[in-house]
Amino acid sequence: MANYKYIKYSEEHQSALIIINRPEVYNAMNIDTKLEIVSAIREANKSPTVFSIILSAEGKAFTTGQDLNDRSVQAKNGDVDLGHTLETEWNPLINAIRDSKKIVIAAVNGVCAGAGVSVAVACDLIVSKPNVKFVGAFSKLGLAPDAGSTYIFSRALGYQKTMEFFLMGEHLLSEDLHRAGIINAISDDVMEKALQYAGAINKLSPLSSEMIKKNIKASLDSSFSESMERETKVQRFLGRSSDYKEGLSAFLEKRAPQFTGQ
Amino acid sequence: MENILCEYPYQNNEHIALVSLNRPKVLNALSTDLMEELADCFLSLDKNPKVRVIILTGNERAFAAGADIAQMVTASPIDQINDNRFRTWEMLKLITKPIIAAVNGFALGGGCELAMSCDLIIAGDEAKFSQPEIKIGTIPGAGGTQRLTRAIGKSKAMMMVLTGDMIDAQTAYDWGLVAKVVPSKVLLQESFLLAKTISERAPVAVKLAKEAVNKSFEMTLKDGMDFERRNFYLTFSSQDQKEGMKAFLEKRDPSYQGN
Repeated sequence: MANYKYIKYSEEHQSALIIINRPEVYNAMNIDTKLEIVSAIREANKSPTVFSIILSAEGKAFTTGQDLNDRSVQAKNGDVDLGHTLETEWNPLINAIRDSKKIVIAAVNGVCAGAGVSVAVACDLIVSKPNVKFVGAFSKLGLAPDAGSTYIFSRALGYQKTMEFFLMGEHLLSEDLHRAGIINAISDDVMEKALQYAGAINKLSPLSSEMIKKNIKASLDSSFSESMERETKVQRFLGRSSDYKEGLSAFLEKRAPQFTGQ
Repeated sequence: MENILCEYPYQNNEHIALVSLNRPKVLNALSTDLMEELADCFLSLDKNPKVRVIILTGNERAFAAGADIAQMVTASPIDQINDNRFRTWEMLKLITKPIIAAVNGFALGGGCELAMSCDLIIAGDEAKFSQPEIKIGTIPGAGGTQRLTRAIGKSKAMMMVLTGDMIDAQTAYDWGLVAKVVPSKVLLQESFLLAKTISERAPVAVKLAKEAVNKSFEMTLKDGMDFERRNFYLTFSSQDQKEGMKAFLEKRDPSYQGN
């Protein structure tokens, strides 16, 4: 296992736990925090005994996004290239979550701000504590939302509500996002709830959960006919897998299936 | 053969050969040895009367990540001339049977050029294409400025060749470089289905059609049309044409012998 400075990584009950560990700065992310999460997601994807990933954080906050003390984002010394920060830090982090073959569950333990919101909503499933504030802090800094948040929010909340959220910079609560369908569950013990989801996912065929994620993600960018075509190809593939044979016999024999990912 | 594998992996279908580049440790870098093996392999498949379609693939991580840079770093022009690495590339043009490039992972530099040397490309959705030669002080040498330009147009080809930056599979599809994008896990399955469909078409006509399409890159429209017409007439000397048209009229599936 790699050594991490800003996060904690562990594997238990067939899940990888990635815990952002900078509570003293409300888990704001400097460059290394982001890159460590990317490495940890890769590590979890390589681990043969891990079938899902839980992303959570220490302390009162989930993450407050960009660490504004990081020198690379400060305009003091002339030119600042936030595009570079996105291209080399945030976008790789968001893509690592979205491209992870293993399902990523966000266990949102507290406030989520700026690009931290993007990190949470990039995850495949989200559980949150009640009354957690989600703040799109960009407009107050003279910026626009980034790291994929315009995409996820406009699809889930609709155009006008998303405009309001990012223009006014006022928070939405986890309950609001739960109603909008962005958050899957609200729980006082987010880790327990996330482990519950993970426990169910870990019993699935890894091929099946990977392809479910891929197809649903692709459907957001595709026409109906493209989605059907994709489904057909994937189902043809899965229909030939040993896991499908096992799933079918288990169903007929009324027992729990033992999937192997083959 | 050390650097490639040639198999007939599809039970009950000996018409389709699967050729895999097999230097996984170096992302299938295209050494001179590998290209020689590939040319030999293709030539023998072209002669094998059972084989009708060839699929060329790499592995999950890479189709091929380009030429073997380690082999070239200190080379002089004369070394390059004496090595004559492109002679084997020229031989790929002589293959008469359709070759499908099934691309997962990286198709960079020579890897992108090799894919473009095939008759059509199917890509897994995690595939990446680029001509990165400019980043190491040289330029494409096996068609990267020519075939790419014809495939995607001047402005986009210039951007790729002058920056060396990668494009993803969806972009390659939008730009017309690849025929299809499929989930990477199902790439071989889909390549096989396409190969199977082509293998069920009249083999003589398939070869003549491939030849005519490829000629469109070499000829004026008028010469190309004349060439096409001669190949069209030529199909009428085949048993396959008689069988195909008879089967159509008799409302049954044709059974082609490739003669």
